[in-house]
Amino acid sequence: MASRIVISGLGTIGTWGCGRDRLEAKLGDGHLDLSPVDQSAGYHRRQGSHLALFCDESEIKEWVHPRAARRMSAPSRYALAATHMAIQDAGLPDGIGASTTVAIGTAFGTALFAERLVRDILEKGPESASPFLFSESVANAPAAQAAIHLKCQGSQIAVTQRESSAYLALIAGAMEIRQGRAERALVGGTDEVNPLIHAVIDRFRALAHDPEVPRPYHRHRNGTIMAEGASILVMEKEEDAIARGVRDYVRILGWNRSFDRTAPSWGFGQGVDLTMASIRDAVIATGGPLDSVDLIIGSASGSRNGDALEAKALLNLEATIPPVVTPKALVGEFGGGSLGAAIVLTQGAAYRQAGEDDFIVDPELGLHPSFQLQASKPRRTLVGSFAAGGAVVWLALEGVQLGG
Amino acid sequence: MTHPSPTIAVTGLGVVSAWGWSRDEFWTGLLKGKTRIDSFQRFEAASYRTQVASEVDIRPLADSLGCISIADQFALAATQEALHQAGIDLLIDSPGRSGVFFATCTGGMFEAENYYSELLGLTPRQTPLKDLATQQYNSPGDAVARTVGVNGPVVAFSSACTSGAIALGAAFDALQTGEVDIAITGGADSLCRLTYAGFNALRAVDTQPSLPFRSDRAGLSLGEGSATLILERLDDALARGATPLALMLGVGSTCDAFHMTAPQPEGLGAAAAIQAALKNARLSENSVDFIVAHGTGTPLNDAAEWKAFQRVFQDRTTTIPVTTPKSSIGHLLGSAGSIEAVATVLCLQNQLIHPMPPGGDMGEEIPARLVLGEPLHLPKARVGVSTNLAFGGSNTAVVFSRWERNDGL
Repeated sequence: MASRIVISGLGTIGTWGCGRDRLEAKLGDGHLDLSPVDQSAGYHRRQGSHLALFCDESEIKEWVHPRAARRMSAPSRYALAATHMAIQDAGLPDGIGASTTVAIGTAFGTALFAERLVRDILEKGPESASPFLFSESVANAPAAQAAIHLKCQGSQIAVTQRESSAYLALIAGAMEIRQGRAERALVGGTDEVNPLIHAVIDRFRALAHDPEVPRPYHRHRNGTIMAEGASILVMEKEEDAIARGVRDYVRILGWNRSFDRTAPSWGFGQGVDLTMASIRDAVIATGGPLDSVDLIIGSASGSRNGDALEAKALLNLEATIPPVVTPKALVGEFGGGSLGAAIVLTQGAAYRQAGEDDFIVDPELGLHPSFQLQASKPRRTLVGSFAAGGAVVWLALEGVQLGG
Repeated sequence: MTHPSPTIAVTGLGVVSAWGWSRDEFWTGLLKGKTRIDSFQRFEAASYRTQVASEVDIRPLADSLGCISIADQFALAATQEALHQAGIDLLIDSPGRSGVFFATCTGGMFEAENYYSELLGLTPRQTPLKDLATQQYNSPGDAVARTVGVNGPVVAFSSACTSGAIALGAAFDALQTGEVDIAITGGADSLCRLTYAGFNALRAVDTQPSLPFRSDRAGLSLGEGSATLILERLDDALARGATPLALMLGVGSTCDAFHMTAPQPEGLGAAAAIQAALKNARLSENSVDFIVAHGTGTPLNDAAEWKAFQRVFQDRTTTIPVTTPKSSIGHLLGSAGSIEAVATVLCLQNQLIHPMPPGGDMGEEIPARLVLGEPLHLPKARVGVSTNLAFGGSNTAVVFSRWERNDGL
């Protein structure tokens, strides 16, 4: 029988600062730390979204030397910081080993560097192009930086499938281990909030405005909130983790990857049947019925169509579904925060989301998410991810806490 | 030959290149041993350090330009050709679960540059916002999936110049694990100012068409286009009456963990990727009959890649024929691995190793058996390896073998 693949370490950086403890605290305090986006370039529309969830980098120098950080884009330094944290969390030495794959997803890559490069080319001429900006403008720069700094000589993979990038990178890393090409994998996602990208996404009416808060499944939801940061996981075979003395980890039971062809390139579709099939497939991977799942960690982020698709699929599955939480209400969309949240929630973290008193059920959806969870023993979870353009991913996870 | 199980077959190929909008034009062009690297019109090049590239004639797109990106259109054309050759119509047939594993370095960056120029007030506003929707990295693969009717996994990869090979590896895995029954894998990139200026900023672009592995090589030549391969499990392909074009036997992928832009000079990572691919394919290095190399024409890449070949093939290194499409059609960046995989399959099918355009000095640094000017007949060629190296130190190798009717279950 093929070995189970487990997640034995988590590193994360976002508005919560650095580390899983800070992320757990964020998921438990229910508070949204929004800050204004730089609008000095004049990209933004007046009536649109002007806030985002920015990374708290106050402690990043503990993980990335300032001299190294100066030579990196934001997504690269977030990914490198989170990678160091993940390795420490997993109890591994920094020299993690040659047979380690690095698979990092990013929706928009190192967009700020690319923008600066293009701007220089257009305004000052091509000879002004900076070789430093160019070498860091490739989407695999974060994965490459992590691999170089940690001497990881397995595959180096960059997945760029919009909102589902981090989840698909997780699956890519799992495949490398499953196929015998790597002993371990460092997987996850990283993104930065770039004013230009923020303004463009807002012009596609994807971002929340008036009020500028994400309200998943809410009747009057009108968009999501962009976030930046990174979450990186250490993955290895279960027997290897146990042999090292790991006692708390997350088992990957299975996954389903699908594509909703009804989705336009800039949004979400109406493929309810396909989404239901995707969820059912992930449920099958748990080895039990849907009611053996303790918690559904939804992809809902406040998007009108994205939330609708997920809610309709869930509610059409069976009469009773497990509690549904929507951590993107706290960690935003992009930046790997939702993946990090999924891991800590699977391991039993508490959850608290503000706004329950103001929540209005959307009569077309009929789904009321859970706004509060007590800390618990490890959970069995289904984790959803929907990407603009049509990609759909469902993961089946199981938190494990070994005795002794 | 005992193949890995389940064995994966290539059943369709599609190409868009500077030679034309078809696989046959690509192959015929390669066999001429000439280059399509020349002056280009996509954007004004006079103020760049170099003025040559390999450009696809986009006049066939005249009616559809501006609706979706050029890269998306390349991807769609190549994929439709590949599916046609494979005899598959996903919208009509029910061949099981399908997936798209697609590569790009820049997606619709050219269109995004145009939009940004307008946003900065440098050019008149005329590009609608919706055109930016196809600028993203995932756009070519999504466009393919949406158009041809894919319902399974759709994953975009952007690992610089190894993107195409990494996408191939992901498709291979999805078939071997049974997640999909049909895998559409490929890559697409179009010329854009960012990469043209960026590589020139690194002084990595030759002012003339590139001369891979020659002692007077002076850099790469950029190109654009797309390539798609249709992969299936061999027994499924045979059961539905398809004729495999070749077998994909293995893939290897490593990282130098050395430098963001320079390869590890001893080719250690690249050698490890080739060895991993051969191990995956259950083949020894003595089985390899020819190599379709990354061969960018940059001093460092070619030197490192040659050292990798020496590490793997040792005494045979100077006798194994080596070629690359790059000096004919340029470096296609994200789709380089895809189009070079197609070239490898076509070499196996035709038992001809396509030549590179002649020229340059051979010298003694790299005493490779380069196929120059004229195709090399290799009637007994059964195994070819395609290699790629990338920014960030990523290395890949893919092993293909010839399929003959007495191969199989």
